[in-house]
Amino acid sequence: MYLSVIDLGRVSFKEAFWRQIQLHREILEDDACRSHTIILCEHPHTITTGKKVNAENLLDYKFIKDNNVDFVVGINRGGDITYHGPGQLMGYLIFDLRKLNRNLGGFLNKIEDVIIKTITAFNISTYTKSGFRGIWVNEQKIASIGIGVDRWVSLHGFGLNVSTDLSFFDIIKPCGMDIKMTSMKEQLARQVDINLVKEELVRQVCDIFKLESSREHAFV
Amino acid sequence: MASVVLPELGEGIEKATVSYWHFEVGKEVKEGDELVEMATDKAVFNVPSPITGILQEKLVEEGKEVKVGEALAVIE
Repeated sequence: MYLSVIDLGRVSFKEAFWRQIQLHREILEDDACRSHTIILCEHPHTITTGKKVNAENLLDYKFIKDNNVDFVVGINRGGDITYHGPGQLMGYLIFDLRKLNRNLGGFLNKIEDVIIKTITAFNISTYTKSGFRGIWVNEQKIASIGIGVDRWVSLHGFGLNVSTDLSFFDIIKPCGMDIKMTSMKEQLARQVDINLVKEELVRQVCDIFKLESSREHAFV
Repeated sequence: MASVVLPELGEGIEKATVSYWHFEVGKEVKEGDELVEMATDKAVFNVPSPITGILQEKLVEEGKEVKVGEALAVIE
């Protein structure tokens, strides 16, 4: 199996979502498909929620309105409210779980491993917390995971704070929890090149899922 | 008659919460139709109907948890 890598650069959440839907349909309609896909991108300032919208987790609606922040509700992914923005690396995984023994739990564990090993490669120690979603560093959350699965093909994925402006998380209660978010930049006290993080991430996805990177689709 | 159960979801996932029923009791569902949306802490997914028939009973309300292998609905 191959990993098809699509790097969209900075695009709106809606544009990336549309791309996911197209790929999802292609995989469903093509039994002979030999590749899973990861879409890498950054979004402009955007707030998204899962299916259940808990209004009290949105702390500053006026800020959203005044600063032209995109607001997208009711997405078919796990998780509560979250923020996306420049410097946050989004990884959308369109994976055919029928070819991964329909092992949703194993798939989620591997995604966590990918993120942990990617961040570790930059000399930051991370961990998962029992009972809490996401990837953590020093009791602060550095990456969030939220997956949707439709007919055993996945959608959505994770957001990893590389050099995100963390002040934007103050306008929400991230994931509905009283937590502090962090970034690779904050942990390392220096700028981090998001392209290097992308390269490491793709390496880890290929290694952990035992896939070969599909060069003809890489970073188009 | 068929009982719709929460299928095996792989390592580490033993339960999920019913988040949304796509059909009302008494309505016809076709084999493969997405019957009910389930959620874990990290993922949202649909459980399809195993047969074509009438949704006779929803055994679990939205917001309630179900363990893997437990029945969600009855279709006749």
